[in-house]
Parts: sequence; structure tokens; C-alpha cells
Amino acid sequence: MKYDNPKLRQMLAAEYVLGTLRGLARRRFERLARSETAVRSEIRFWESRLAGLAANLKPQSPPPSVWFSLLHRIETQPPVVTPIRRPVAPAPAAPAPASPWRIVAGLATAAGVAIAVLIGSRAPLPGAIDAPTTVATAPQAVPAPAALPPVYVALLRVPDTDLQWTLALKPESDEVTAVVSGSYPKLGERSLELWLITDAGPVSLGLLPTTGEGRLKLPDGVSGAQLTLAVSLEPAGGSPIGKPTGPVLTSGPAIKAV
Amino acid sequence: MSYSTADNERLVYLLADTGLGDQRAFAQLYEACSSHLYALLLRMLKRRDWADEALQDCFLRIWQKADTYAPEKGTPLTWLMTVARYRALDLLRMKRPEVEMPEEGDEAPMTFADVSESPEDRAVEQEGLGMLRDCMQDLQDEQKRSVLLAYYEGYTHQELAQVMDAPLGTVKSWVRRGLARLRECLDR
Repeated sequence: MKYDNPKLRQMLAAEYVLGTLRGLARRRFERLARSETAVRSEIRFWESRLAGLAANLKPQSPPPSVWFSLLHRIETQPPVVTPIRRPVAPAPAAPAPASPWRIVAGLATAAGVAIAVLIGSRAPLPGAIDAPTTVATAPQAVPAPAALPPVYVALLRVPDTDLQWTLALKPESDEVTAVVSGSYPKLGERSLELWLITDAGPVSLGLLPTTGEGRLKLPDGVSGAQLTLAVSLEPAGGSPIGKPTGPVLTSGPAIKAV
Repeated sequence: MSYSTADNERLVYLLADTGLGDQRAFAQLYEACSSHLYALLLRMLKRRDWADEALQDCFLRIWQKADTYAPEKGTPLTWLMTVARYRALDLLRMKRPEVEMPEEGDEAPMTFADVSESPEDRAVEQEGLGMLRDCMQDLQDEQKRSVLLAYYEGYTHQELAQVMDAPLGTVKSWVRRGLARLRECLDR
């Protein structure tokens, strides 16, 4: 194909950006764009003009699980190699890579992002995500952490499945909110029960949702820098004896976020 | 896109800091932009699980590639939306066989006139957006419809032919003439 015809190049760039240029032709054009400035600028012309169509869509808040999974993926990715711009030696002591939870906790105080989503209704939280003015209103107004009642967050994933819960524990309102993603294979008629591990043994917080979101009850007087949670597989409706009867599928800490 | 210069400047800084590995900046960028990207991904992919996956992929890429952003690539949000849209197109190519094509008249609203009509939207609307709207109105109905369907649904020529119940050659020429006319109009 002759790419030196400007009209043809314009059309291919337009169809490339629109997405109707497919398959081999698309890849050929991508290669051409890498070497030809004029092609790249034509592509950018269309990208910036057609982006106006996306600006008309009403913003939609993604579920908090996306952010948590993203953090997890960032943690497990090999370091990005950007030798020129990335600071070379971040610290003399070469600290171990931060766990996702340390990042979450750090973000919570710093930007309030993930936690803000979880905490939901409580607040002058940063960035009302449903409002089209998200960008304009973003995170200046982070409330001082000290002024807020504590919230604990946890991400519990069941090994060998894609099932995970993003949990927020709010002692002030005796409430746990759970957002689920993924699924448990062959759950059948059984239930998944959430436990708070205390000095006196496990205390049931209730049944975890297996789709969507759910609310569970938190007992009075929960506090501390960190709580331990566990999930067990139980008969439908939960353990009949108030203690876990089935296998513990996963456990982990809930970190005090604010 | 419909953001003030100050918002864009803030996003430029957030992208620059993200490119340096600053996770706080990345978190703020996610907070400011994810709902816009997610709206587009939901619109194109239709399924929440796919949109969730695509949004993660996009921001992972943004985390890795933020340092390649340059202002000549458009405003930050345009760049991010472009990343999202290409990701959605790729996913659709892989997954579309599983998606049922909508019946005639079953598609979600997509005409340019339907959207962004609130006074707030108009107040923040930039000149370019108004221009795109005007130029879109200039297109013949089939041209406009085929361009919008390709944009919002990620349809190929073949899929457009099926949905619009028209021969492949006809549909291709609607798309091309539509785009050519749009190009002329936007150039004015």
C-alpha cells in the first residue's frame, strides 16, 4: 500500500483511531507511525478530536476491588525500567518492597483514595466520583485522619481461585462492608463465613457475600492497630455452633487505615 | 476534553510524578480519572467484569508508561482515554465472539445530540468539543451512525454491516466519507 499519499494517510489514521482499521493493516500502520512523524501527528489529531465523544459519557465509579487488585498487580510486577527519570537509589537502607497493605495505608492518609471509596458515605471525602467535576474537586479536602473514627481495611483472597473480598471494618457503626470479586468454584449449598480472631477465639462476623456487596455486623469494642480475619467454608447459613467447622480458606490482617 | 486548563495542569503534574514512581500521585490520578475511563470501558465492553479487567490493565499501563506522556500527545485525560479505548478495542477483538450483537433499536443511546446537554456541561465545554458536535451534525445520517457505532461499540466494518443491515462496501464508504467530511469540517 502506498502511504505517501497524504489523503490516504489521513484516512488510515482516522480509521486506526476509530478502530475500524484491523488486523494486518492495523499493525502495518502502527509500524509506519513509529517511523513517520506526519503519521503520528495525524493519529494524534484524531485521538484528540474523537476523545470529545468520550467526554459525553457520564462518569461511572469503578468498584473498589479494581483499585486493590491494581495495587496488588503493581506490587507483583517487576520494577519498571525507566533509568533516566526514576530516582536511582531511593534510600540508603534499601528497604524491602512495600506490601500492598502498606501502600494502602499510606495512601489512606496521604490521598485517601482507596479508603475513601470504602468508607463511602462518611465524609467530605476526596473526589465525589460520580460527579462529572471529579477532576476539579479532587483530593484537596482530605479530612485530618485524627478527626475520624477508625476504619480498618482488608483484602482477603482465596488461594487458587479468583475470589476475593475487599473489606472495610467500621467499629464506630459496628459495621463491615464487603465487596466481592471473582467466584468460588463449586460452592454449592455452602456458605462462606467471616471471623474476627480475638484472644478468646474466633468471633463470627456473619456470612460473606459471594456476589456484589454485603454488610456484616461488627461486635462492640473492636480496636487495636491491626485485626486478624479469617474465612471458613461452612454449611449453608453458617456454622451451627458459633465456631468454624469447615476449612479456613484464607486469613489476613485488617489494617487500621484512618 | 471538557476540563479547565488548571485541571489539565494538575493532571500533567500527576502524570509526571507517576512517571517517577510516585504512588501517591498515581493514586490521585486514579481518583481523578478512573470514573471517566470506566464509563468509556463500560460503554464499549458492556460487561462489568471486562470493564474492571480493562480498567486495571489501563492503569497498570499508565503506571508503567506515565513517563512517556508528552503534552503533544494531547491533554492528559485525552491520552488516558485513548489508552482505555485502544485497550477496549483489543479486548473486543479477543472476546467479541462471545458478545451477542444488539438487535436493531436495542443499542444504548449514542447520538451526539443526546448527551452533554446540561448547563454545567455546556459551561465547561471547550471550543473543540462544540466543534466536534457541530461537525457531527454535518454528516449524513448513515455516516454519523456508522462513525458513532464504531466509536462507542468498537465495531469492525463487518460488524457495522451486520448491525446496520447494509452491504460491507456500503458501510465502508459511509465510514470513510463520514471521516473525510469530519476531517474537512474540523480543519476549518
